[in-house]
Amino acid sequence: MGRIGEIIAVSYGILGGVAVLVIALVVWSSTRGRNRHTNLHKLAEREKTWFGIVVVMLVALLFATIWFTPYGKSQGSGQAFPVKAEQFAFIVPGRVLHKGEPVKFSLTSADVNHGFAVFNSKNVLLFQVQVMPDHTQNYVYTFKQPGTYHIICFEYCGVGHDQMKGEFTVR
Amino acid sequence: MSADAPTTPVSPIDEPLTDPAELRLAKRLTLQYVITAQAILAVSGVLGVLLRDSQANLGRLDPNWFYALMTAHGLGAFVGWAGFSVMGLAYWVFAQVGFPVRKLGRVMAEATYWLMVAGVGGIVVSTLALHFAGSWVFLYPLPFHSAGEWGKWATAIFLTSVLLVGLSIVTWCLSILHTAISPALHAVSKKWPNKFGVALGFGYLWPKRFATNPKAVPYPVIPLTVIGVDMIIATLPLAVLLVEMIVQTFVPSAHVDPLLAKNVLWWFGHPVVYLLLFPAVAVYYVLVPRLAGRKLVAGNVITVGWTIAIIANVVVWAHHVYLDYPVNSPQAAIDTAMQPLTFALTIVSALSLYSLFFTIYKSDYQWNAAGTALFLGLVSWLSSGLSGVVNATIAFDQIVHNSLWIVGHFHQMALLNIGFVAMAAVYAWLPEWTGHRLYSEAMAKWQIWLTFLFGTANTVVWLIEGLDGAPRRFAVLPGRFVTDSQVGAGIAIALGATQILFFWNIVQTIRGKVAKTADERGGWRVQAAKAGLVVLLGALAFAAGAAIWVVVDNVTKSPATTTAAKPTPPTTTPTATTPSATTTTPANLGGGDPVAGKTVFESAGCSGCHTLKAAGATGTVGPNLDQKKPPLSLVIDRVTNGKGAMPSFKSQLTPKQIKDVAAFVVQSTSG
Repeated sequence: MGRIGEIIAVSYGILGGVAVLVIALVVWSSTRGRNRHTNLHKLAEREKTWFGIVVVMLVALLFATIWFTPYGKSQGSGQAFPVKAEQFAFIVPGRVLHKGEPVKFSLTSADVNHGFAVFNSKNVLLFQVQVMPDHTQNYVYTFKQPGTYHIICFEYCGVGHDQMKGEFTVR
Repeated sequence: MSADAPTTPVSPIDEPLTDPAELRLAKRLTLQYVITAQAILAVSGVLGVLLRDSQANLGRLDPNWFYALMTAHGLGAFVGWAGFSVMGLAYWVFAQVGFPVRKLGRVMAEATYWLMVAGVGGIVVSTLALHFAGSWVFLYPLPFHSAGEWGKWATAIFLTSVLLVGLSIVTWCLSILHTAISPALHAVSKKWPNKFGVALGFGYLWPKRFATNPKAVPYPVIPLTVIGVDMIIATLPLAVLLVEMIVQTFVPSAHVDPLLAKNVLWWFGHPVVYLLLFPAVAVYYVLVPRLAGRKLVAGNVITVGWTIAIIANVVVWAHHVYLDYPVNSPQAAIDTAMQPLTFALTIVSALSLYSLFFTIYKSDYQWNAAGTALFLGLVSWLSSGLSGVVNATIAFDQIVHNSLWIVGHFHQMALLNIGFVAMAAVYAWLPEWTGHRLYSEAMAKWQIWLTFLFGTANTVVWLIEGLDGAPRRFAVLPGRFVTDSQVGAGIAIALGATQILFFWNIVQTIRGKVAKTADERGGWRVQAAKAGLVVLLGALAFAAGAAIWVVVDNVTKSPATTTAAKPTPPTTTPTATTPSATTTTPANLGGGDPVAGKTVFESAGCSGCHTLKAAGATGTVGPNLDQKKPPLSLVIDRVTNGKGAMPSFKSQLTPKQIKDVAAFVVQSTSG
């Protein structure tokens, strides 16, 4: 699991999980307790406050994450690495890539939509983009570690989809 | 508080239909949809278990079968079960708040039913009989690139069937909108745009402009009207694309820009999720207050949420294509705008959850099977809503996109939120629809709790696999996920077996049977015995799975068919290869070098599609070369020029390499 995966696991899996459990238990136990007096009118009015809280939380999440969108990575230059995807193979150049220098992947497909997902030797997903026919998509990435990197197709492309793999080397 | 003043609307108390004919119609329509949908659940649920078993290597399916079943399972469970169930329940929701289905609404409702049944039937035929395996999103232009696995007619029947399902959604919307703007709205203005505004809940925000007298629009009508409007907007462009695709099946020169097609698909594909959620919310709005013995705890702000939803629901499609941003297209800008818009759409869920949880809070809530199902449905809605926020965040989506995380997310949403609403509605209302008491309340509670337990565990396994990098829609997952998948398969079998309790309860209730209560039968012992029964059923299902495995395994090992059970060596890098050794070659190999040819075969990606023992290749997409024993000239021709799904290798391999690989194939298959 990469760093983003860990962030998701902690924030959703642990914090989210605990929050859901606490809410469920509070609501459930409140129907079992003796004190059933509650001001429904006030609760309905307070929905406005909840609305405000939700908006603030969403805006905070938006501003915390929007800087990490990958769209800027389609710009820039680097070691050219054109990739043609087709059912059910990735046709990649034979060249060896250099670590520490940006690599410019230029991806297109000869037939259907494919996904280009790159994993390192520890099976951590580094990045993925979609590969479309009639279009070219670029992605610039700098590999820090030498080694063999694996490509897996991440968009269903037909019955050989799960066999559609590839690799390249970084030195 | 008085509900009489049009200027200060308050949440009204339900006033169900009283006219016997109107009630009878609502009952019949609802029962017809709901029972058919549960039959579809039975079939698509079994398919789901088979898929999970196959991934766990417990009854491995041939890849074409796997993907064809996956296509049928997706459409069947999502639209045919969850969607169809709540579409039917909408008519009963209307009956509960005093809105009769009138003539046009009735015609449209009947048309919807038969269009959906015909569509589902066509999908069954095209996938299970004709092997269409383009997945339920049939991403353009995949249906036309079948790799020889399905033919034109399978594609045409599949696309036509989806078109029928789309039309059924449109006719349903028309019947819903026609019912919503009935006199039961009590709208002061008789102009229909104004009536739509009232049905959308605008009267809570602008009481003068959208005045009602004597009472405000019941809350459950709002989500139904919202989705009625949205699904028409969402479905029509897809219908156009489907017609184009049907034409293209027979006229291959027709063409659509794949990026445009993808956007059109998700323009529909996103709101269709809410075709499930919004009617389910309407059911929550009716049932939860009843079980809690009080009105829905809602401020006027809840209608702000619904107003946002009308717009946001049809403008957030592109969060499904966050990872498409090809050069010279505005897609990156569109995708960026989708994150705040998608966040805005979550507000209506956040407000509804607030209202529903606080309606239960400190109430005398009835913890019967229906009440338990709805409560656990709300818990699952909250949990899957939060994983949905992860998906909606571009920075997170780049990791979870198309991974099993997504599968975990929507199974929790569809099965444990929408599905629980359908099940709760059956338990709460089947007696009213049939005139018979529910067969067994205790059995229903067991079914709900076990479904929650196994369903949640099922989702957790997928979420974990997804974060570990497991792709979705993989017949054979990378080896490191085998253990996870085996755990998941065990859970899926138990989850499936649990549903026998649901179907049994429905069948017995319809038959007018009533089970003895636990007390009548001896209290906890019966409960324990029932738990034992479920375990036994689970075990039987497991045994059945194992038996299927033995059969399928034997079949796939027979020479007539092939299997992808063994992982194949990675394909690729055709240009990074081929040290060419010179050896003497027999004349019948056309001068090619089989030793060098083996290297070409292994590196050019041949093993991804073909089975060839000599190369350890077990691909099943293309012909099995060991069986075909192709002549030299045919191999050279196919490798050079390609045919069908087989690409041309002219530009990647030298003529010498092509001769070599042909020599290798012929030599290794001719003995």
